[in-house]
Amino acid sequence: MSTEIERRISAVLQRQADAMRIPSPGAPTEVAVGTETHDRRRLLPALVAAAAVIAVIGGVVVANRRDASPTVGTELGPATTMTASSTVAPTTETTAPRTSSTTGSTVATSTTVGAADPVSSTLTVSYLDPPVVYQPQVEFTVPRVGEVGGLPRRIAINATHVVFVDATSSQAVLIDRANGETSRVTLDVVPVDVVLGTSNVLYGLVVPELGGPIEIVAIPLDNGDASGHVAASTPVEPAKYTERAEEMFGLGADGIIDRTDGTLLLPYLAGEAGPPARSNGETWQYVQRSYNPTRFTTIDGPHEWLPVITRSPDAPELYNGDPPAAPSSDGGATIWTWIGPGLADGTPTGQVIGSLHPDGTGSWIMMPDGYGWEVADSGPFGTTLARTTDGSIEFATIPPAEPATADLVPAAFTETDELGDLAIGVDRNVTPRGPTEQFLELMRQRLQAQPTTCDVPTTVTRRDALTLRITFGCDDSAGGIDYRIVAIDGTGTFDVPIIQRRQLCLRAAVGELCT
Amino acid sequence: VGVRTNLGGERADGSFEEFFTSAWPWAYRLAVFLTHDSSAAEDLAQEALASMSRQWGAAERPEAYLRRSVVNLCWNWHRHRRVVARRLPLAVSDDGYDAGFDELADALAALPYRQRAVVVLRYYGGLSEAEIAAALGCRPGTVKSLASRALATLAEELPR
Repeated sequence: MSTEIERRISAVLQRQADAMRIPSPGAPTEVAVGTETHDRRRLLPALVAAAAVIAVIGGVVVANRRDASPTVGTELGPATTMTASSTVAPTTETTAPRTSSTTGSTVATSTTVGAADPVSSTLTVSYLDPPVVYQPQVEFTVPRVGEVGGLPRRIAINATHVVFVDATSSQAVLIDRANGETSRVTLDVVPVDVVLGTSNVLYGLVVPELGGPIEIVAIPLDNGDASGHVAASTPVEPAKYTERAEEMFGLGADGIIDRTDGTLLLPYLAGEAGPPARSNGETWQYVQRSYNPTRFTTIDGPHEWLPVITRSPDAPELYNGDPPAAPSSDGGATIWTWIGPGLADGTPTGQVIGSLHPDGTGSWIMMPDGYGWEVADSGPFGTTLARTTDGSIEFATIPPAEPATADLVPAAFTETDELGDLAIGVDRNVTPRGPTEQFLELMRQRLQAQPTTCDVPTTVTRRDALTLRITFGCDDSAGGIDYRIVAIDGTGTFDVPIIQRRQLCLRAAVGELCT
Repeated sequence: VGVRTNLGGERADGSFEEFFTSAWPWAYRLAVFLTHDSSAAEDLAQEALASMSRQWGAAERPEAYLRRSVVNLCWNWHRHRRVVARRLPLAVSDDGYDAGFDELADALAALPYRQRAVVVLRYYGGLSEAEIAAALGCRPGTVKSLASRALATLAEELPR
C-alpha cells in the first residue's frame, strides 16, 4: 500500500511541477542609491552579473584601466541593501569586493579612483539580513569589585595590556594581555572614556559631579610612586564633551585626540609615544564628517567609506550618536553600531562591527544578541570585547588587521522566532536570570494560554550560529491543551537562558533538558 | 520513487551564474510546493539565491544550502502571513499553474508544513532522509516520523 501511495504522490507532484511555468528571474536592476527598499525581483540579475564578475576577477585587484568595466562599479551589492554608485573617472581602478564567507552581509563595492578624488565605497548592513554572527572566545576573566556600567567607557587596550577603571573602588585594573595577570592601582580621580597609552598611561575624561571644569587627565599606571596620580591635565569644552559618543578619544601621533575631528586634546607624557606608525604611512585618525555616521574618510583623503545602515524600525535612537571610527593597524578603520530593536529600557541590540579595509572595501560581523558582548575599545591594537557575568568581567579580542571570521549561517535568520506571535517577550534585563527550567515552564504556560489548537506548529528555532530547536509536543487528548518538550536539538552546551531580539530563546544544557 | 535531478544536482562548476541557471527552476518549484503561491515562491526562491550569491564559494554543498534556505524562507513566509496550518487551499494562480483538484493533491496541500516539505523533498526531489534532515534542520529520525505521519494521512485520502 505504501508503495502505491508513494508512486501516486510522485506522479501528482511531477504533474504539478510540469504545469508550473518557470518565471524569468526579473527585469534589469534599478536600485537607487539612498533608498532602503528594493524589489527582489529586480535584484537577482544584478547578483548574477555580480557573481559572474566575481568569478572573473576572483577577488584580485584589477589594475588594467582599459579593461575595467564601469558596470562592475555600479551593480555589485548585497541582496537586501543598496548598491554602490560611483562615478567612473577617466582613470579607473576597480577593486573586487571581498567574497569570503566570513564577511556576512556586507560589502559592496566598487571603488573609483580619479586623480584627486577619494575612493568611495558603500558599506551596507541591514537588520533584515544581518551579517554573520561572530562568536567571541573568552581570553581572560577578571573578578569585578563592584557594580559596573558603561563598559565601553571604562575599558581601553594597548599592545600589551587592558585596563578597566572600576569606579566603585576608584581603582584601575591593569591586565596583562599575555597571561591575564592583574594589578590594581588606586586613582586620584576616576576618568571615563579612557584611552591607554603605549606605556600604560591612562588618559580619560574627568567630569566632576558637583560641577567644575571637565578635564582630560593623564595618569601613569606603572610608574612607581607616581602611579595613580594625575600627571597632567587640561580642561576641555564642556559644550562639546558633556554629552559624547562612546570611544570619542583615541591615540594620535602626538597625544590624545578627539577622533571626530582630530583635535589634539592632551600631549603624551614625557616618555610616552604614539602607536607605531602604519606601514602605509597613513595617520591614525579618521574623520566622521557627519555625526550620524554616513561617511568616514581618512584624514588625508585616499579612502572614503559610506556606511548604509538599515536599522530595525524599533531601534532606539542613540542619544549621543554612534562611536566615531577607530583606526586599525592595517591602515583601515573599525566602526560599530546597533541595528536591532531596542529593549524596553531603551538598550540597543544587534551590535554590528564594520571593518573598513585599507583597499577601500569593507565587511560586517554581528555580535551574538543576548550574550552581553559589546565593543569595549577599538584601535590600532585590535578590537576588545567585554561583558559582565556574575562577579566578573570577561574579555575577548577581535584580532587587528583582518576581518573576524564566523561560521557560515544558512539563510538569513528571521526577525522573530518561528513561534512568531506565540513567542514570549522577556526583557533582557531580567535579573537574576532564572534557571532554564523556569523559562521552559513559562513558555509552556504561555503556549497553553494561547487560543489555539494542537495544529499550530510548536517549534522554536533560531537560525544563527547557535541554532537551537525546541519542539513542544501538543496534546489535546484530555480535552484541554497541554504542551510538553519532546525534543531539543542544539549545537552546543549552554547553561543560561538568553533573550534574542526580545524573543525568548533558550540556552540549555541539552542533555539535561532532553531527559 | 522521485527523480533526483528535480531538486538540483551537483554544482556544475565554480560559477554562481551557472549554479543560478540550473538551480532557479527547482528552487522556484520547491517554493511553489511549499507556499502554494507562485508570486511569493518567485520572491522567496530569489531571496534564497541572493543570499547564496553573497557567500558564494563558502558552502561546500550549495544545493543543500539552497534547499535549506528555501525551506526556511517558505516557513518564515507562512509565519508572517499568519497562516495557521490546516487546509491551505490549493493554488490556482493566474500564470498557468493549475495544481489540479484530485483528492491526493488536496491532501498533499493540506499537510502540515514540515510534513509537506518532507513529502516534496522525498517524492519530488528524490532526496535521502539525511539530505531532507539537513534541509529541514532536524534529525533523520524526525524525517522518518514526519514521513510516516504524512503517508498515513495521505493513505486515508487515497481513493480506494
